[in-house]
Amino acid sequence: MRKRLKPYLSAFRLRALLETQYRAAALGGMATQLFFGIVLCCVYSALFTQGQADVTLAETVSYVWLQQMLFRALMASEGELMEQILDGSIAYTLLRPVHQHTWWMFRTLAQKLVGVAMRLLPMLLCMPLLPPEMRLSLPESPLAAAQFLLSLGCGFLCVTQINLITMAVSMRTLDNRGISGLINLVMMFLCGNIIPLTLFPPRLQLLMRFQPFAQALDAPIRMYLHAQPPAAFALSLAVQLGWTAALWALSRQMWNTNLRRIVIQGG
Amino acid sequence: MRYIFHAVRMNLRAAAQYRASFLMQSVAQLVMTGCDLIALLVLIDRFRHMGRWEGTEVMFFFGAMQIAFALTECFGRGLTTFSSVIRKGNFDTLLLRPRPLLLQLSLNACDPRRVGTVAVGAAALIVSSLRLGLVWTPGRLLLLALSIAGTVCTMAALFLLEAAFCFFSVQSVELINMLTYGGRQVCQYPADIYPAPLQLLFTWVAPIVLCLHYPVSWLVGKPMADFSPFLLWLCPVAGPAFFALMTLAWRAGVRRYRGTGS
Amino acid sequence: MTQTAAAMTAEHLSKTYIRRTRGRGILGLTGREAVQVKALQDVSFRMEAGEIVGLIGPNGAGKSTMVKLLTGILTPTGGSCTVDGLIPWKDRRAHVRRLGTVFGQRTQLWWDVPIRDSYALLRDIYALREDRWRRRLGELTDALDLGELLDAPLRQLSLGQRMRAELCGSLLHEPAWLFLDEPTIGLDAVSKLKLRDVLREENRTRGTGILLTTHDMDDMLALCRRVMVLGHGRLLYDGGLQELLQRYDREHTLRCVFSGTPRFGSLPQGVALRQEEGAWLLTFLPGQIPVREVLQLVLAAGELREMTLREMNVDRMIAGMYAEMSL
Repeated sequence: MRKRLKPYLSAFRLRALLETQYRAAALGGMATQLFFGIVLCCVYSALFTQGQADVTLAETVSYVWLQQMLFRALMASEGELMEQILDGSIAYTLLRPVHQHTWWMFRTLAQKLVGVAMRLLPMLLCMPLLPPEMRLSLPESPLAAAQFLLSLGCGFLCVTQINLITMAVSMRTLDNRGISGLINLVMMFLCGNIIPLTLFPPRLQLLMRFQPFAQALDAPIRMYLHAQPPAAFALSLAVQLGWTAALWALSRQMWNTNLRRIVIQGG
Repeated sequence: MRYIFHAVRMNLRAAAQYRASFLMQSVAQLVMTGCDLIALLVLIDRFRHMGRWEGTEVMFFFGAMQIAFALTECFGRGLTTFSSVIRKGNFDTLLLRPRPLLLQLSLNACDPRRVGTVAVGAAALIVSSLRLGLVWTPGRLLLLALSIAGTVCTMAALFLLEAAFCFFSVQSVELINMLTYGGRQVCQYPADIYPAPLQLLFTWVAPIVLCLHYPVSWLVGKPMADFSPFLLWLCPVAGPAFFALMTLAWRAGVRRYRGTGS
Repeated sequence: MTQTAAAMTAEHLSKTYIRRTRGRGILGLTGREAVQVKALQDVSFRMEAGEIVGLIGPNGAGKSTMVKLLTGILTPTGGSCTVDGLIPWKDRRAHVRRLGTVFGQRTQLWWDVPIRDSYALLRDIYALREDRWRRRLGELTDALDLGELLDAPLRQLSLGQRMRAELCGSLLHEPAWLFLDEPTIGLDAVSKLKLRDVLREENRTRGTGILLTTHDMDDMLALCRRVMVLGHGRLLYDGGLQELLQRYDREHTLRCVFSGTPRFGSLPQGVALRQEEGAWLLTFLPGQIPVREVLQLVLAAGELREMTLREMNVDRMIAGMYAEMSL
């Protein structure tokens, strides 16, 4: 088992190392994320003039900051894969005795974990510089923190599958802007990055919570804000893992079909 | 003139080579503005008010800003992708052609499909105008058009500044992104909901608020607090002036490029 | 102005630029050092309209800097240059309207559209009259054999086809000056010959001045009578190609294949012998030993099956110049 996993773990390690090289990009990205976070906090401060039944300003501010800090987890930078496909060097990658789908899954995961870690800590350090009402608050309780971390792990797995589907579609259409750009936009919106999903009208909440994109960041953030009773927590995890499994099967299927096509075209 | 027309058509033909991508890009641009619109509708549905503004008034600001940004992106995309033009050495090719550099750059990436997004902004503008019962006179329409044109100039000037920065350091571009895409984010809502530093930044450093929000707030009938009628016709002028100023930065960049290359 | 005649001139043309070393630290900004690189130093020459001049020199000698200065992409840090009275970096638009350029590694056409469309856009960029453009395009497509390729996008063309397409694009507006950077690199023999024919014809009928950067000795022999050699940013030689060859490419190599093993006996002074892939190579300096004697030596050694004189080599020639000037 370990032997079979070895190439994937080394892909993971290499991609993680590579990500640490992009320090300037991380710094720039962080500055952007901080700026957008502040702007959104200002907007919500202006909006919350009277109390809302189901959401508070403090919760929304925390939601915004967690989204900004974890933003890097949403997008996969699949530029390298597209370049390989467009210039035909994908053929060499195909010669390697590894399963492509799994290979890129590990790479994407590595990029997410390291990319997020590099941005998360400095952004946390910036929090005390902000006015108190604009800061990320602590998790509701230690239990909430534990649930958050566990759920976040599942969220990473789930969003990785979404990225792999995006990549598969880009591969299929030999296009790295149009379709992946479209999916990424929809993803940003449905993940709660543009507007917190908690702010959607109550009658839409059920729909918003159970759609696949919400499993990435929205589900963990809700736990950060409020620890869930065991049953609700289990249900939420089950939904996350269920979507992850379904999307995994779909993306794997798409990759296999794509790879067969590439091999047959054999450029 | 013929050059302009032809260059734009060529971009379309090139993009059409990748058919799926062509369609999706067209859709993506609509979706981007659409997402912002839905977000605004969700907020209006929940909160009704934003500071001293009614939801419908906010939507009017939103519409004006979206139109301005879509137009800017249509003409200014070549500037936002300028770092790759420099990196790939394609700037040399532009220097070797007997046409103004900025015109070439703008046309190289000009994509008329982006005008489609103007429709989303226009829809927001018209619906909110009807619901507010605004009365339009030719003078008021002219003021609106000038405000939007001025904002296009301002945004384009920011893009230009971003491009000029590429001559000096590619890494610092992110900072200016905050002014361009940040400005789009900030200025789709009335500026006076923000704390003073943000207002000042986008009024006097990157004068989007000056170009757009002052006249629009007057058109909606709720002028900004420090509004004076004398500002009204000054505002549309601010955009072109800002653009002229930024061409100086651009020129300095070009001079540097031609001075330091190998 | 004394030099209003059509000519390209450079006087004490120099270009120094500052290269910053990448420093340490998270952003690599601390501890950076500025290094002055003298890319071109004190270069003076005059090239008349209608001349074809070869520009040679090893990588990093300043060839592309010189071309960029003359085309107006860069501004000089010292000295001056003019092309037909225009100062390239000052009168950019007027100047480049009269230029054609083919930079081997870089395309000036559009990647994803049929090259006919690229040419039509070039027509508008250079504001050419429709009928003249049409006639010119006809001429060039005939000469360059592009007829069937006009409707293919550039990305589908082979290297040789692409280079021909590039050349056509750079000649459409009937430039007075043509700058070519490695135009034949990687091309097959047929494409090379075609390209050279067109260049020679262009030069003969229209008096187009051509400045050609190349490593290919055949290109130079076929096209240039005059060459300029750059080394370490300086103009080392400016004059006839034949004179240059006589001065620096003195070492000749005879490659002989024998049936059976030859017996060379004792070699005279100044002739070196070695074996390579079943052939025998004799190198000698014609100044030291008459060619006749070397040939007699070969004929006497055994039954000769084939014999070739190895082509002259730019790199070897430059190495010779460097050695002589102790650079």
